[in-house]
Amino acid sequence: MSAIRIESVVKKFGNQAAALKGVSLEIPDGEILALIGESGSGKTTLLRILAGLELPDAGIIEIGDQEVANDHTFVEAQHREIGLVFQDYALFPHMSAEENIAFGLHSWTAAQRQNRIQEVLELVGLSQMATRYPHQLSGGQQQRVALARALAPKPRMLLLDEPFSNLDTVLKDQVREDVRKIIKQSGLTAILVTHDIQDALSTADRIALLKDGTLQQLDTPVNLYNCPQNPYVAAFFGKINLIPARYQEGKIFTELISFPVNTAPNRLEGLLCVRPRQIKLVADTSGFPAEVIAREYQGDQLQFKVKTQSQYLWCQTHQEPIALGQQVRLRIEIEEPYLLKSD
Amino acid sequence: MSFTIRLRRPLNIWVLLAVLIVLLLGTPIYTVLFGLLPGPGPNWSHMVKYLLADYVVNSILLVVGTGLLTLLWGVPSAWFVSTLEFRGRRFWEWILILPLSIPTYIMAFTYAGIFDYTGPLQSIIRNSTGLNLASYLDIMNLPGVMVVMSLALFPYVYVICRAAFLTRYRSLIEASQVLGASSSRSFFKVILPVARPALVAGVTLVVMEVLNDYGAVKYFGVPTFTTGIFRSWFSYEDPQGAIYLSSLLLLFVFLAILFEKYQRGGARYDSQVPVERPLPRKKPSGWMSPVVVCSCAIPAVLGFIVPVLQLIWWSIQSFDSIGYSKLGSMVSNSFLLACAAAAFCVGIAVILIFATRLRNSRWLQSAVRLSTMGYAVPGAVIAVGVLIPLLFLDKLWIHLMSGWNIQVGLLLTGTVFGLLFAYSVRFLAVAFNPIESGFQRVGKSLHEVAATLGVKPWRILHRINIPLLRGALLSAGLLVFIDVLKELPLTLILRPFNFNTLATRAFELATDELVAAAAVPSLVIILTGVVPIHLLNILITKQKWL
Repeated sequence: MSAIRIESVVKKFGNQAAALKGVSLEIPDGEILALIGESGSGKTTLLRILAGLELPDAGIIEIGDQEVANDHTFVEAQHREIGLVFQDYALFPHMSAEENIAFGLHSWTAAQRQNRIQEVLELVGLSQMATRYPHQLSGGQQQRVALARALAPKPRMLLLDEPFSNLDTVLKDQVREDVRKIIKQSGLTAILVTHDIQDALSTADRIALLKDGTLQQLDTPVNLYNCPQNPYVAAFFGKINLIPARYQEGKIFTELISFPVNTAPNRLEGLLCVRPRQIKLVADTSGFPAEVIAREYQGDQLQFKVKTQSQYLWCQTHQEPIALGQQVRLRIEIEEPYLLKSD
Repeated sequence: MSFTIRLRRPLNIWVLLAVLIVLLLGTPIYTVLFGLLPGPGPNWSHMVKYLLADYVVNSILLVVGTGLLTLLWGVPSAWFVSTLEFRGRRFWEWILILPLSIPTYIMAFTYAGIFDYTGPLQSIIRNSTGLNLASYLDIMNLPGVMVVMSLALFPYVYVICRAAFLTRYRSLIEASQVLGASSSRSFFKVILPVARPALVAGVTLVVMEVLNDYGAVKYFGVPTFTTGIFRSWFSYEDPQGAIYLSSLLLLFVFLAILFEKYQRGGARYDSQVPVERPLPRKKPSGWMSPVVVCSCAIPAVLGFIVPVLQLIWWSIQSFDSIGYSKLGSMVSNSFLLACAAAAFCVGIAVILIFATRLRNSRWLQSAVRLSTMGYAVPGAVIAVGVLIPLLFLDKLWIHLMSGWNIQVGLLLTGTVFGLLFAYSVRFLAVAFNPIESGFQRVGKSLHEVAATLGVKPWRILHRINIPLLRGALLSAGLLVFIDVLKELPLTLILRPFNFNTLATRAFELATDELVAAAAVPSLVIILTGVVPIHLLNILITKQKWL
């Protein structure tokens, strides 16, 4: 049974183009799903509709086996039993960490409440900080308090809005790992909204990519990267070259070069997805000729753009020094080819 | 389609309450508009023939003249204190705000007293030169009211302009200086065009106050709409005439607001983020120095120092003749009334804003915004619009009770209740603006996160919003307090019989030619106002006004 079902949800704000144009997706129990997309893609709107903070214009939202929004009912945020972590954490500045956590436990008995506060503080590793006020905590600690506060009333699901965007890059990796561990330990279904690819790839079980209010693809991180369903998805997770190609008897044929592959691709003809790292420099004349026209230094590697007889390509190298205007020869190395449908 | 969707949400008590309040606060406007239906009263043709032209011409001249004068007092001084460094700048910068604490009617009778035949000015001239200038020093006329009112009201222009120069246009000023423009060139070529909306916003506030004024024009004997409404109501006992004049006055106010919106023309001039760093100030060049000092000193001295010194002098002279007990009851009446009104306005504003937080629908937001427009409606119009329905309700009540053979008196008319209601209509915006910006500062996410934690709205308000808004609530209350303390026309019409506040008593004493005796209550009003005006200044400087 799926924990959350979203069916054909539509939302418009005033006279603007629809923020959501009929989005449907299902999330199984205990999964962490990342909603990713550029700003204006509708990801935050979808999260707010799930939380009950926005009213959908049409469509159905189901949490557990309860329909919380459809054409004639709308369950307010107060009654949805969800945990929400905001981008800015939204900690109540006039309450200590434990008071923040206790806020959602007002209907519990005092003893139960105390136990639960201890429990979640331990879960997020902040037992020593219970009486501190938000301004006395670091960014990472504030975020964990926000998480503890959301988890305390034992919600049916957890929603996180850009949870990592206010953290230093140095802190981020550790926090991502911690948050994933805490959510998994509590066994909750969680949805996190982000615009950062790395957040999504490292935290989520599956990723839903939104663009202009429509769902582009919902899949595991690996599949999204390797088997994108359209050029937008392909380009979203990093530079990609789309080369017209066809497959015949164990070989891929392109205008530039042909090469053997281990497995047959998903279709016989289309646009071959080639990541920069799959294009190699070769010393001999076995490769196709190209001219270097741009470079992007990226620390442990160098990406460069070349002009070939038919199209521009992005390539990648680790060690070789590359100069602008240099003539190079290149080869494509792909074991499991994947072809996009060409229009 | 959209309507059926709205109904999916259960009706919320806060939203219902807000809608009810909004409808109720509109009562004076409905009264005036529906009051037009039965047609004008018997005196109307007489009024049109002999008085209306005077009312219209005087009101227009007064608005235009006072508006221009406030620009003269307010704009150069604001420019100089914001961009230049000169002797006494900090002192003048502060004093220039203070005329805001002097109500127009107090300014009026103080200056009338100063220029009077027996007043200090003529006495000195007579005694030192032997000249009798009585006919040249008569200020009890239209130009006189313009000058006097502009001296009390120019801080609206000054404060808004100074805030604009200090924060929003700072980078423009710097850019034009870097490009080699002189101070005057930056001012005329860059700042004046860009700051026009701020100037007009300031002048619009002045216009509202001018149209609201009753005391000053009455004292100077210049007939305008407000004096016309009073006259029609009290002298002719002609409510229809008062209603017709009120609706014409409302039309004026409406046109003023429309003009302000039109000149703003949808353009946003305030896109720059306010900068905290103060502008580096230059010293004025040699011949500019006296110009600069005079531009700041003249309005400050005439607008605050002279009238306050005069009032202090009169107070010393007349203090023994005023009963302490009488003064005590005036002060306690005024303060209690102002406190109650402040509590009312703050409470209503919190309910309205909180409801829009709970349900962020556009119609509710516009309705709530509309209910704060009472600030633009002149006090006399609100008074008429409140008094008529109250009288109607009281008559109904007496009629109903007499059916049971019970003799009862007026229940609502002439009670503090009516007065408080009228204050709420007029001063809601004063409380609303600081509280709303407080809510904005706290942000939506705290509220939303509390909602997802399953907490009831009342508890969110009580535990989250109120504690975090304490400062904003307090300053909102203080601002209403001061405005109510100064208020005259509403209080004059709606106050209970024999109930005197500092404002009504000061005005009555002054009208009875006991100007010196009016000085003590006037000074109490002014001095009580000076402290919170500091607060007002901070609010306006931070762009939280209008």
